[in-house]
Amino acid sequence: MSTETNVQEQGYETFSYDDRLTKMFVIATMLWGVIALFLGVWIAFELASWKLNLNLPWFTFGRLRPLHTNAAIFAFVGNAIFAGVYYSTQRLLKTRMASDILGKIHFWGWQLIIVGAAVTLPLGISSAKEYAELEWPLDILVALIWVTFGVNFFLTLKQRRERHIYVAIWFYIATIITVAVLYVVNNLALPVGFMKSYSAFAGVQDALVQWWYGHNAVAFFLTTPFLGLMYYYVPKAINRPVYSYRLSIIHFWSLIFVYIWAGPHHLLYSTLPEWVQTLGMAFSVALWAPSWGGMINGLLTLRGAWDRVRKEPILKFLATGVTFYGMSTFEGPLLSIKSVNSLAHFTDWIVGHVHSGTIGWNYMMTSGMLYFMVPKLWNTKLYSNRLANIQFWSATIGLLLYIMSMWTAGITQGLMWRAIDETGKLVYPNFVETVVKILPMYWVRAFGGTLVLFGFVVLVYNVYKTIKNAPKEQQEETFKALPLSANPIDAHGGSHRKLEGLPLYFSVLAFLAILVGSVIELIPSLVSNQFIVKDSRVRPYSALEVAGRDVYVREGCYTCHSQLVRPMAAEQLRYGRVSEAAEYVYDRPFQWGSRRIGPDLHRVGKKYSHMWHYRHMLNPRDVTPGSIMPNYPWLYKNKVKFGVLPKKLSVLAALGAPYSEEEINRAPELAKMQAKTIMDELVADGVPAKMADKEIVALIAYLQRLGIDMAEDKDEVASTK
Amino acid sequence: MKSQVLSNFAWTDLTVVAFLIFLGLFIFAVYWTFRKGSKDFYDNVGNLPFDEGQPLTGDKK
Ligand code: HEC
Repeated sequence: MSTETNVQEQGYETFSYDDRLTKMFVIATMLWGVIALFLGVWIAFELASWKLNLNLPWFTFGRLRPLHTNAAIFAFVGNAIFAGVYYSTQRLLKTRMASDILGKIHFWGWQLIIVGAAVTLPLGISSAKEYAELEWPLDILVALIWVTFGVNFFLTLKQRRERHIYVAIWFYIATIITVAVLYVVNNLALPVGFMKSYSAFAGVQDALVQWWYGHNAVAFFLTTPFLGLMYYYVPKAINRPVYSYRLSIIHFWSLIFVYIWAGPHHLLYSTLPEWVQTLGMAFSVALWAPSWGGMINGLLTLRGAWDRVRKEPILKFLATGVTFYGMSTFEGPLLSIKSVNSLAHFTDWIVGHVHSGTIGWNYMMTSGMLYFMVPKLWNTKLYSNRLANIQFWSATIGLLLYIMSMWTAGITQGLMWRAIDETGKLVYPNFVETVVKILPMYWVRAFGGTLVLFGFVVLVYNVYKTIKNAPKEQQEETFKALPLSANPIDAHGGSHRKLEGLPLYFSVLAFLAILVGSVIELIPSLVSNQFIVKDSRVRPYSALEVAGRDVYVREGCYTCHSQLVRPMAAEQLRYGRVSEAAEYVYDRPFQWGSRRIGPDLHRVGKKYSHMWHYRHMLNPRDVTPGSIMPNYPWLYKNKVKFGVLPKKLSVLAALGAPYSEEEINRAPELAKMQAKTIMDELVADGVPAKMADKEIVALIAYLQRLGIDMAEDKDEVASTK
Repeated sequence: MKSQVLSNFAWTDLTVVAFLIFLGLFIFAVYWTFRKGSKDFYDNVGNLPFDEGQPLTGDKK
């Protein structure tokens, strides 16, 4: 690349980088970072002390957890990715982004989506699919804005002045393509109204698609872009090239190929076909190799410079980030091994695992990247290294407290759930015992999270001061470089150039790599619809139960409750019969959940009286002392919207539920009749008759229906009391 | 009943097929990156982050 001297001056083109756009994303990263982390801390305290749910719908755990996860992933990490990508892409390709306008649309569109999420999720407008809770209008907006980003990116590639495409750019390309595919497929749904839809997939299939998405959101939103960023910012910060460029290529292809298969490790011991589970587990374990290849490559880039790592905050954050990447990608495959998974699944261990990824890897890398970029972007020096060090220690200690408390809580609770004494009975039959036991750990976790948040606030202050002290006159730096046409493909290594220098060709290959796994894994299961014997005993939900289910979805009950009894002795003892695939065929979306903060609910139908639920939902501690479940007083005020039921049922019918014309047209009337039968019992227990049209009745109808269709005889249900 | 057909639908061979595809890809990637004469090329590409074009204005470092 030392062609400058001997080429004529007029061959050069001059250009500048669109750093305004990067700066905007930097600011947005900090703003949303504080909010996402604050939300996390808030809901952590809600679990430690249920009163913080404030008895208000918008603040309950079930509604705020989706906001926290979406804010952390798409707002905080998302904006950080865009900042890092725009900064590095322009420099690696020696060109300004193709279009300033598209960049601005991307920026403001993305912020609009986030604001939309911040408004709709607390209002309970949610599709109840984890990390994809946004409803369809926002989903469409996400897709459009993502495409805008992609178009601008590919146009920029086209007008680049550097023929070779550095590996970081590969990771960005894989990210752009895969996230688009994942997001669109997983959010396929049929709208019922402006802010409500039913998933195009049901039950087991919905679960498979959801976790193919969910896992790969981790892979292609939280991991691949950050690996790209790692390959750019670590060499930049230490001022030497990556340890092994060759390894980075092997890392890239192995990682994207293997990752896409691993989703089913979220569904081990579920009713998912066995071969899909095995596939997911095998590839998850295999994932260990490319992940560690990448980590080692990152860390070895810092070899022999550890004294600098100890002194310079940027390197400290980056090195810690890469180390935690290694840790969580070790833990992930471990958790995918079936026997480990049987203990860890549904416990806080998984929650700890996720946070060692998002805080350890994404937060640390983002911080390092910000400390690197901000002084460069604003043409100044960092305000305070000391503050950066304070953040580092605060965040690191906070994170360690977080991880260790969650390990303890998860393993403790997991062991308590499965403990069976000599007589074959559960040692802790009362679920709430296992909750009370780990409450101290919830305080430790909340405190750890607070330290992480505090560290980030320090970063924001530090960056604010840095920017304030920067020279007021900021002019865009101009650069010169030769156009691509002046840099013909040279003789040696010709075929490398062909593959690694042709973005389109390359993108197609990357697309194929992720397609292979997706197609082999998803298609047979999706068409296997014809293979699931639809058990004739399983009937679609009644109109009132549909209304109740929508309340369940709106309140985010799945953030605390699973609906999946796994084939294990302890679960059968605790909950009842093992769940079967045929039972879920009308579940749109499926609600298996991923964490049992409360007990599984798949066999809760007919377990308790209507009155028990009535009292429990109003104040869980009334019937279960020590419970940490929020109160739901508004369900006793809100009326069921009977009028929309025909519409809802007809949409479900369009998706395959066998409702008759009559059931659809007379839905409001039939729902009221069912409410009446529930009310008869409640009134006998002293509930005022005017409650008949309230949401609580619909919710009770739904809860009482859960998991009873296939009971061999109805007595069996009653005897599990 | 336990969705017998589903569990009979055991495409365990797919795991093997998938693994073989991956193995092929991996071997090819290794072969590709270690091809003769590629060292200079990769050394060059690995240095790309340090070449941002020549500054004309602003602070000249
Ligand atoms: C913050 C977590 C949390 C949320 C959110 C939550 N629950 Fe619970 N739930 C619990 C805990 C913990 C228990 C166990 C203690 C108890 O019985 O209250 C429980 C118990 C239950 C039970 C009794 C199950 C049994 O077998 O004994 C039902 C039914 C229930 N919840 C329904 C709901 C519904 C419906 C929602 C949504 C409107 C909901 N929960 C939201 C934590 C939660």
